[in-house]
Amino acid sequence: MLMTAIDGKQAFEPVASPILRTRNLTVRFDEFPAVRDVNLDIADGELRVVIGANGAGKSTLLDLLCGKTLPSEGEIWLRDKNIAGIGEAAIARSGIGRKFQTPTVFKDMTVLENLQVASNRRVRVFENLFERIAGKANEREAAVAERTGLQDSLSRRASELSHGQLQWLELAMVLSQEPKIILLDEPAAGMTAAETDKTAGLLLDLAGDHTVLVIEHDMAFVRQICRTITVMHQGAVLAEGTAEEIEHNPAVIEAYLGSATLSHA
Amino acid sequence: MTYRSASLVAYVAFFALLMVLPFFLNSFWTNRMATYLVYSICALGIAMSWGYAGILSLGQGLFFGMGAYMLAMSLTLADPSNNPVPELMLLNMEPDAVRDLCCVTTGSFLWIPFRWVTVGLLAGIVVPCILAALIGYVMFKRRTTGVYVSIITLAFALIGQLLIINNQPLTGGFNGLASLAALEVAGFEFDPYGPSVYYLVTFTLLAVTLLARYLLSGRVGQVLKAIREDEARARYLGYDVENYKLFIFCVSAGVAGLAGMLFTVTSEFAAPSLMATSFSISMVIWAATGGRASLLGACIGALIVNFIGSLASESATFQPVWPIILGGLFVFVVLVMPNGIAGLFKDFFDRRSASANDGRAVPATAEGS
Amino acid sequence: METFVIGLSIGSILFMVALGLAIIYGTMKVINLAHGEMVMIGAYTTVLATKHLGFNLYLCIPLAFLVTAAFGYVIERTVVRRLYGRLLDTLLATWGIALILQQLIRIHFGLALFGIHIDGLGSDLQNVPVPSELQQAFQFLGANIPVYRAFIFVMALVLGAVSWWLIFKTRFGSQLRAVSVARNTAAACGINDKRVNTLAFAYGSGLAGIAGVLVSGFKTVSPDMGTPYVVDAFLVVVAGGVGHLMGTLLSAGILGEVQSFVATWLNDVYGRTVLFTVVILILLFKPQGLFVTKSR
Repeated sequence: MLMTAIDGKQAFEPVASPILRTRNLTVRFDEFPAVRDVNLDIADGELRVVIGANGAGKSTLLDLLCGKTLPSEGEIWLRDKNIAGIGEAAIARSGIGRKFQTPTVFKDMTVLENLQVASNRRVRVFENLFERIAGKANEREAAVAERTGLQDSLSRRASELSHGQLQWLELAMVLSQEPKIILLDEPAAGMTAAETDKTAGLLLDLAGDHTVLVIEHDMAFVRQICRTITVMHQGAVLAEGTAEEIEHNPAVIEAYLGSATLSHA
Repeated sequence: MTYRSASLVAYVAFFALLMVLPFFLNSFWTNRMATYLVYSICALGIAMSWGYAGILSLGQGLFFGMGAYMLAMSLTLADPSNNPVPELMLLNMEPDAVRDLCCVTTGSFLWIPFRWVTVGLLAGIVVPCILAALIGYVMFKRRTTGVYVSIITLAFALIGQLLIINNQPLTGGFNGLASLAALEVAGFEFDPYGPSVYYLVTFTLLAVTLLARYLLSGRVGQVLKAIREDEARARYLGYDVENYKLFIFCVSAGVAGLAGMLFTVTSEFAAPSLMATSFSISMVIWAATGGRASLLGACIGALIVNFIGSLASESATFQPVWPIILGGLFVFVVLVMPNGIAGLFKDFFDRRSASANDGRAVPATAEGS
Repeated sequence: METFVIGLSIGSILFMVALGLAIIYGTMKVINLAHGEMVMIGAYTTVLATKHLGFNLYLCIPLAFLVTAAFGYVIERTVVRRLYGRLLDTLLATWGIALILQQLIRIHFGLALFGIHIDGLGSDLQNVPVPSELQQAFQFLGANIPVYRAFIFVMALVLGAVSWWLIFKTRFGSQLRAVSVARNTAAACGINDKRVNTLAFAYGSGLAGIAGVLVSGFKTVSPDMGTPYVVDAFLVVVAGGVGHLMGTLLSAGILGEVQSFVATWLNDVYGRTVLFTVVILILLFKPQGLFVTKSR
């Protein structure tokens, strides 16, 4: 694993033409700033990892990006469109897909049905009035199922799947959306070592075609996949850079002094 | 036999039975059965919104009642004794008022369009839909969910009922509208006690069932189910959840309005009691008994509950205990068979297919029986 | 002023009914549509006790509490317990229970089937004798105030205070609060959450029973008298914010006054129409309740 980390080492450079930008992004809950003045620039096809202690505002940041939480201040630009406040569905349609920490899927539906709902790009009621449902997966759904290892479970109900499989299913649903940007909240949580490796591989595979933003705690995993790391601390961005730079950044070390997360992972 | 073919058989058998039933019934029971089939249409509307989209409206009686009143207004005016103005208005007017619909009582001009039965027939569906659209728009845009939807719709129905009772000169108040002509369409008169009304109701039920089935077995039904399962996830997949909910809520209200109109035809009255909380809750119980997520189940549930109720009310011994049996049935259904009769049916086939073959299960793309 | 006092007494009754419902809904997320029937049973307890046992109204209060609490206990143990987490289903099942209870009163608990009739039961309207001292009126700030209405108001405050003490100052109360916030954690800490539920349900029902005694003093008693109360009381609970005693108190007061003033100004029907409209607006625009500041 350490080998991968060294291989994955890259110099940190500011992004030239970002696909996703946030400007002074701030949200307060009862006057408590959970996210403060976050300015992110994420390049097209980038794989970006966000790390930070519990309560640093990582998940809230993703909530802001996907519209779950409304920003108190600031802007979120997807290319040249400000998507702050346009609603979750509209944000999803403009190309942002979100995977949650605890998988949210349609439990009472089969894997195939889950994928069908996700991959359908005609979302309006009246476009769908006369639309029939196919009994088997179409090409795109089959491809996604293959990629996430669900090809043999298509007819099973989601409620019968294991926790790991649910994670894969949710990821598969996000992929079926064919989003430009994929937001992932601790994708490897609760996975076995083998599954974690597979996830890391998949993420590296996805980057390039998609822009991927990952929250992760597990530093080994982070080193395995990462190009650029953003460190959050108390709602703000503390540092940004490669794994190497981050681990030697005095501010980060200061913030994590005594914490095993970074130094001994 | 698979579950799907079995449920097809069940549908065909159910409607075939309905078609031949009048040959064995006297005029009293033909009328009774027609009314119960009207209730089936109601239950169908509830299964559509509750079973598929998880929207439990306890104000379905409001839409049902609106439908009933719309047609009843036209049929009131069609009755010769109510010419030029309905009797109920004569009883309530100021002594010196002009005896014309325009101004005999406050607001009586609202009745003018209902001189044409076509208007009544259209309004019976359109008005409940519009009302549902307004209520639903505010509710779903505000992201009201679950039990709050039930309570809000319940409160709206209560308001509707109060307003109708209170505006006696316009609505007939507590007694409602009761001196109605028989429905006449293109020169054909529908006889509430004859097979004509029975078949009118049956064919409407068939049409509504087929339409609902078509709609819900397609993409819209799938998305609605997804919304019922996890609303937020549906949003993150790009669906405007509130539009889907609004759509099915309005369709369900339109179905209730249609049922309300047919109720006026079979029972020859419209009254505020149709909007009572207890009636709205009864409708939900019919659907729950038959199976909340099954269209045919809901129809059968309404028939069975009402049929048994009617038998009980015939008998002097059972009449007083019937409400207790009914109450017990509610409790029993909720506790023991939450998916109703249709649920039992489906379980039976699930268990059979599970034991007969493993791994060859057909993906269950369509819900319900 | 008279209108205000009427509003206050409407609000007081609402509060007593709603308080029980708030405890039940707040603790176990159960919508008990049979709660109105607890009011009805409380009223019938009064009818029967005054007719056959020679009780006066005051004595009926503890009696009705015990009787309805016992009913609540049984309902919880037999039905509601099996439905936790299925909110809409509890609504249907308790409606069924409500139907059963109403009809049991109408048919004299089934004895009518065997030709036995108990004076005070059945479908007829019943009245309850009110102690003479409660039938007086007194002058206050230039207004003529019936003692009975003041009595209701005082009872509401007393019950509110007792419930507050019970919830915030006793061991049972802290268990109750623990269960309502985090059922599983509470259970893991050794709290018998099922027992807490049962007791809370019984206590809530008992409060409705007391409300029933007081209602019987100024309204005729009939088997279906409870239904309007449960709807109103539930509206009070959600408007006040679930699980907030103070919110329930305030919203009961406000909704009682709204109803009373509009009813005096226009008529009863509009009073109720406005009441429902207010509640719909609250549910739509402040579903977490009027007096709750949303946190996170």
